[in-house]
Amino acid sequence: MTRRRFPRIGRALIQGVSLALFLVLLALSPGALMEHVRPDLFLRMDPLVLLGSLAGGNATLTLLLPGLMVILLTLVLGRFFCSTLCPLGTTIDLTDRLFRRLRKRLKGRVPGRARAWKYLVLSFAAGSVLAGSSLFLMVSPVSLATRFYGLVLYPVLASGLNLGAGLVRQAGDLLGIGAFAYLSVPVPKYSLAWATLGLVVPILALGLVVPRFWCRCLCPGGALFALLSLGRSLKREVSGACTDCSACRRACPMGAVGQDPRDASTAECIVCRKCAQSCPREAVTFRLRKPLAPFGGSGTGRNNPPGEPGVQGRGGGFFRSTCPDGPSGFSKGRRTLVLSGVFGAGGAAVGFALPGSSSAGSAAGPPIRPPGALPETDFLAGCVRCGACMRACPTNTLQPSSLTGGLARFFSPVVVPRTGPCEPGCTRCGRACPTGAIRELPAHEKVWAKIGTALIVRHLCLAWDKDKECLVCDEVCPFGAIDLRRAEGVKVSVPFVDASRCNGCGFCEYYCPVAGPSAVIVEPKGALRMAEGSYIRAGRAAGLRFEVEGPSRAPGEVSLPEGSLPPGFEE
Amino acid sequence: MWEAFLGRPMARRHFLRLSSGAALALAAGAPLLKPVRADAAAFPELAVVTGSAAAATRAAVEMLGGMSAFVKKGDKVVIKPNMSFARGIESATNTSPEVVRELVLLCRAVGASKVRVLDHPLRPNDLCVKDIRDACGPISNDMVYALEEESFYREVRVPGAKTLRKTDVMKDVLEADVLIAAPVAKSHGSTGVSLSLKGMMGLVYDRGVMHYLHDLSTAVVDLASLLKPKLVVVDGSRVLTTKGPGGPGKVVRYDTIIASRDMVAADAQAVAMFEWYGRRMEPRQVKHIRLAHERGLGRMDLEALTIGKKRV
Repeated sequence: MTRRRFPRIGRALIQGVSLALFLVLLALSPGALMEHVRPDLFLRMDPLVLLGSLAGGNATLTLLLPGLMVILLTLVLGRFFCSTLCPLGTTIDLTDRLFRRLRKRLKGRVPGRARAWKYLVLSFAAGSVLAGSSLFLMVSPVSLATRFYGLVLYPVLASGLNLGAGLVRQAGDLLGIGAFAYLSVPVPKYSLAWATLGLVVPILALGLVVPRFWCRCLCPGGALFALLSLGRSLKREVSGACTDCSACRRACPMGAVGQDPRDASTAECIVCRKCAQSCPREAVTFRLRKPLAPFGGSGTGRNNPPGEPGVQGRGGGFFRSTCPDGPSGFSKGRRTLVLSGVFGAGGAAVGFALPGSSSAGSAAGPPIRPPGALPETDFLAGCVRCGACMRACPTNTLQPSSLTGGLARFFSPVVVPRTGPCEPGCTRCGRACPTGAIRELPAHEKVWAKIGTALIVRHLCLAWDKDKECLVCDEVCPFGAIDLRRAEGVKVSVPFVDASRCNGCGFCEYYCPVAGPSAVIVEPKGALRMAEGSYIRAGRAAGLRFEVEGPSRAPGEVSLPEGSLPPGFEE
Repeated sequence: MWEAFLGRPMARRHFLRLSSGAALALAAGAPLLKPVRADAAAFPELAVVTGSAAAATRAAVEMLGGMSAFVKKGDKVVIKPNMSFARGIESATNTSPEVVRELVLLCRAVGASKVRVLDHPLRPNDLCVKDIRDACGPISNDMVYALEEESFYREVRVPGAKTLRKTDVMKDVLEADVLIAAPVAKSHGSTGVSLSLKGMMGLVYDRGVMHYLHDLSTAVVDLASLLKPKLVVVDGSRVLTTKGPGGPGKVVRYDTIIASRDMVAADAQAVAMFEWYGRRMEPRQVKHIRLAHERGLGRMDLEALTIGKKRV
């Protein structure tokens, strides 16, 4: 009994711990802890994110290492990622469990060829990457999970926690405990929740048809893992004790076990070992064996009945079990592969056609990107639209780009100063980016990574247009880039922007007291976008003068024109 | 209770001032006044002390009758310094931590039950309050806060306001028994100077509306009619004489602390005795000081005030 129960608990434990770790990293990613921990560990284990990293061209070995490790392990163990580490897979397992009753009543069935769809998704996404936009990598499993948990569920959770914090404050007040006096949980807001829910809700709902529908039929990550696991050394073996009871077939969440329980598809198997646990005869075991050949000897155990060698056939042979009812596995597999190729080319074509991608050039200029974002072409190639930077941004300024920003830029991060300013000392977005599309910069470099330039909209400005004593933009500017001076025809001192000091951080736009659109707006003009090299050097060369917050800054000049009053004084 | 800042005490102070004009009237009024108030008449209306920040703060409060004249045993006290900028002490954009700490210690010494040092910072991080929090850390960790969230504020009406009819004030301030203003002296691009009157804007949530809907100086005076500190201590240890309130500008060391019961008088004294953009200015040239004086919130006619001076 113990022998059968134990490994199941073990795997569920790994799943639970992984999901918990993923969520904790996500929840804490704007916090100071991230100076010591990398918040994007799970993203970087996703092979499609790895693809994006390579496409962005700014991948360091540190960035790639977790993904490479997972790939290497997959070559040996098969699709272990799906059954242990994948946060989306674990989520699907949880919702699948909830759906169990309803699913039985619905008696849904999936045609065998549906399993090939995931290869089409994969090739489509890969094709678009080749064409210069990683937009379609947004369907990679960890990217999906990051957006779902980080940008949709977390804000809901945070507002709940904040309500709780209010109660704790009151309790602390009654008990005279001062430590909770100002306890509060910041509640971030992100736009485009529909885009995330529109993908994730159907993905979870498909569990009503068959368990892990997404993982079986659609997940491009699963497709890649399936291809990688063909020659795996971990073999599923079925001993002679097997009585053809098919308990294992019913237990398999992937539907990978064929009509003959000795026959299971390696590509579909996620090595969860539920078959082994379910077998009343303990006939199913998983053992590490040397692969028979680089891409052979997989799928079924050694105890296959003779006369079924074709199961492990090279090339498209692995597709055979994907359509067990089909007359000829070989031809269907080949057809799928060919179709995948066509699809990939289609993806590439779409990618090329996307406005703003490398080949199409950029019709409209790029929006305000996070500081340290690669040049726009590389950036779009490298950004897998996971939303990790948005979740990590402590001021909530990073928001997903909407469709009006162009399809190629959809869901890529944009600085929206009206929702929050970009804090000069903060480097969280670069730290959180799993692909290096936003460079991870040390704080002193980041200050020089100019993201735009402020513009005073004079006809909206309280000082310029309405003669009101307002200097909020000057007051809040961390760079001293706004000067208040007297101007002809205006009774009060009015703001001017010094572009060489303006970093584009957006403090002015955020704090501008004008209702509705701000009277000072940041434009992407003058942003420094560099794939490599020092922003300090480039900034100095461009004549920028960024000094923040330091006593090192020289005091401003005190030259008042003869006969004029100091700003703000009256005759 | 928050009514302590609303109308009533100022009326009493007014009464006191009137009565101090005529000895006879004083004699007649004395029985009606609390002993503390009666004593106050013996103290100068303004204390101007030069010396190191902490010692000068202590001496200035002493000249006004000591902290016990303002804070009673068990009182809840809120101190409002400037701590809105993440710049070093030498930039003179924030109140000197030594001044704040001295005030905290004085309040604690006379038995204040709770002392909070509060401001609504402009930069969303703890860097602004760091210096002052570090200085007060040894006294208590539950003291210095930068409050940015709306839920820590409560809407109140401003009786008799000319333009700012309602605003959201920090709940702690509304619930405190004593408010102490401890601004640093600095120039201000749109209101000329930022001292105790202007500093009250750091206790409300929506400051933008004061710029947008109203005439800023009038709104500042409206707010000062609602939030009346019992004690004002202007930190002139170093003064940001240009490019305020954010700087960086010309910082001049004056090593001076100005204290008063009267916000307008303290601010007027600071305007008159420090240079602004290298010039000498008069209190009436600052619109919100002039308006506050005209509305009877305090007095800017320094020549008619008793000023105690001291060097420590």
